[in-house]
Amino acid sequence: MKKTIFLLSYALIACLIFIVASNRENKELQYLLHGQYTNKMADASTQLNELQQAVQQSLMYKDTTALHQSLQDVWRLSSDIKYSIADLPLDQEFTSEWMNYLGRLGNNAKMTMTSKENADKWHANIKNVSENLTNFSNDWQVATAHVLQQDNNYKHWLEEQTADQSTGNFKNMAKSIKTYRESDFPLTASESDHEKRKNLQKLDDRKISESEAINRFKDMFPELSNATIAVKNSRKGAPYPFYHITFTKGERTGYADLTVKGGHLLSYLVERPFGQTSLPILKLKKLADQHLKELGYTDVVETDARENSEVWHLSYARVDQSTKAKIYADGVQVKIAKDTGEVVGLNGIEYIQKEKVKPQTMKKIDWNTFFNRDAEVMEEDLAYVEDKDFVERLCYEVTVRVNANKTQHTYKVLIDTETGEVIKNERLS
Amino acid sequence: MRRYQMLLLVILSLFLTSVAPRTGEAFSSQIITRGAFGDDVIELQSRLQYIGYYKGTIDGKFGYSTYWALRNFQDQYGLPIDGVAGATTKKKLASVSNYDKDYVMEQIRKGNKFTVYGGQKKTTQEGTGNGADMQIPSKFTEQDLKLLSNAVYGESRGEPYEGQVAVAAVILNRLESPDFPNTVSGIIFQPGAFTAVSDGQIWLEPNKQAMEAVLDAMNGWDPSQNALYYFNPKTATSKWIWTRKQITQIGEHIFCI
Repeated sequence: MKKTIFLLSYALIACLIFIVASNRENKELQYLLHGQYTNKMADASTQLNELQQAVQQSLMYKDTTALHQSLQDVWRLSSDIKYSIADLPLDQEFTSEWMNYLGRLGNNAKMTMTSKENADKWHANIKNVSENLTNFSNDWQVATAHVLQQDNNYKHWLEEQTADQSTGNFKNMAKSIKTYRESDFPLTASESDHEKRKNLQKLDDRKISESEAINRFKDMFPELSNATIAVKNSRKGAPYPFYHITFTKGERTGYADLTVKGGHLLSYLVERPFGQTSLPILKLKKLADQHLKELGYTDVVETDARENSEVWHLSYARVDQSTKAKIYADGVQVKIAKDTGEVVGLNGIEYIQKEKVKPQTMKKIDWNTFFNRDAEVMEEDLAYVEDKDFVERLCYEVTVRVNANKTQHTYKVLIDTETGEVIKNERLS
Repeated sequence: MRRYQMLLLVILSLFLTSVAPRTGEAFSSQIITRGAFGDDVIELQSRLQYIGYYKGTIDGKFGYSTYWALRNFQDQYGLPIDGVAGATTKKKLASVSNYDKDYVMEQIRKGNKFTVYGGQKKTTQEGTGNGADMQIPSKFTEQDLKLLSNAVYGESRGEPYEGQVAVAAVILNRLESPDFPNTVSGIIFQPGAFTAVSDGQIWLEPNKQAMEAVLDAMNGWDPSQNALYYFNPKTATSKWIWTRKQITQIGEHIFCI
């Protein structure tokens, strides 16, 4: 009897262990699958966004080289997105319609590029394509929103997509693609890598001590001179040694990193509760400018400003004194509190080692022959940006408004002043 | 009789007040410039859309579409063309447009995106979709913000704020490294890269702090100082991670390259 009970208990425990292990494994597999589908879906969304921009950019240029670059992007991206969509568990009708559409678009771009199709025809069709893609992109965001949410929604969504009688959003999208005309056709991942990789290892300033670092911090932020401060060194593996200063004062906590060589400010960030009041933006910008000047950033201009619920993020770039061109690679970012105008963040890492820019020939470019008639040049300026060989090039920085059928899109186009080559084309929101 | 006349006058005044276009006092006293965000921008976009100058989404974000619309309005009404909504511009705009604040704000609260306001039945104006209530640098998308916030919350909730910024920065640093995928989603969902993906914690709803940490990282802050990896020394089981060059420790995480 005892033996039987023992054997039964043993079998029961073994079964339980097996069930728990299987469940865990299933759960892990489920998470893995969810992650992979989300990744594919997110990739497709990114590519769709890039395709939309490439199509809009192709509408912008009359200049053959610039137009061909955009067409090449359309061709490449329409192909990439086809592969991404093919891997997703979507409504089949939607998938085939959309893949056909992308195929036609890519072929049309390729034919225009190889001059078998007239570029004027492309420009004539592209307005509709651009509009179609904007609508499609909006629908896509709605249809895929569940994938970025919790697991239960995802399972429900997946079941719906794989069911024979799908009633989901993709079914409607398939229908809407069908309404796009056969002749309507529409890329590029514009190179967004304008991050500067500074090799701060090469700094040859004098090393400062911990106490010098604290004094420097107090000089920079006198309002925190009576805060509780702690300092620690970066670890041995850090490519450039720095002091990590943490502080607490009342409700404020935060940190500042200073290089050991020279005591340059890498970054500074404060966390504190924010009030509901808001100072006028012009006053906040004045306070930020004043703070930057006090910290020695005397040759920078504001390049961008974005308001959020409690703070403004302001971006600045150094100005080359001889050409008055902005050098984006030598940037400074400021985070300023709306309630009191206190600078609650400063990022100065890119400004420490300044770019050595070279003088460059400036050829006059006729924007009427460079841009298509739907692209309107709104502002013109000068800026240094990095080209594909990582060389800082002087560029015309042109703000262009593209007038599509119903909507307008704004782009910042950077064109080499010497070669006339488009170095960068960024959509502005 | 005199009493009835007074009563009639009061009723008439109340009626006229309710049907007349709302004027400048609806805006706050703030000057509205490009980059602004919030209720004033919602009103600005709604009013500009009502009179046909603005055709974009009413989302409370003062971007270029709103900027060009405002300049066109200033041009048409003989105002200084600066794309800034100061007192004069706001007053003029309020005098020539209408703004149904309750309706517009209700749509915003519902998370609806709607692009047609004025001139059409309101029932046909509602769209769908949720826009993030944060303004991010143009090289990132709302999808990036959402995925990064989920990852930061799943990986580092409970860590100090700077530690959360550092985790977000590590993911963004990987974007620029040839050794990693070149999209935010590709990096986050790279098999075995993040514990939160393997154990499902990435699907927890992120809090405001995680989203703000991501926003700071997107704007350039990087307390990890260009790290590509991080780990918790108390829980890490991989021997390999200990071979990486360590940069700094923030909270429970060691950041390395």
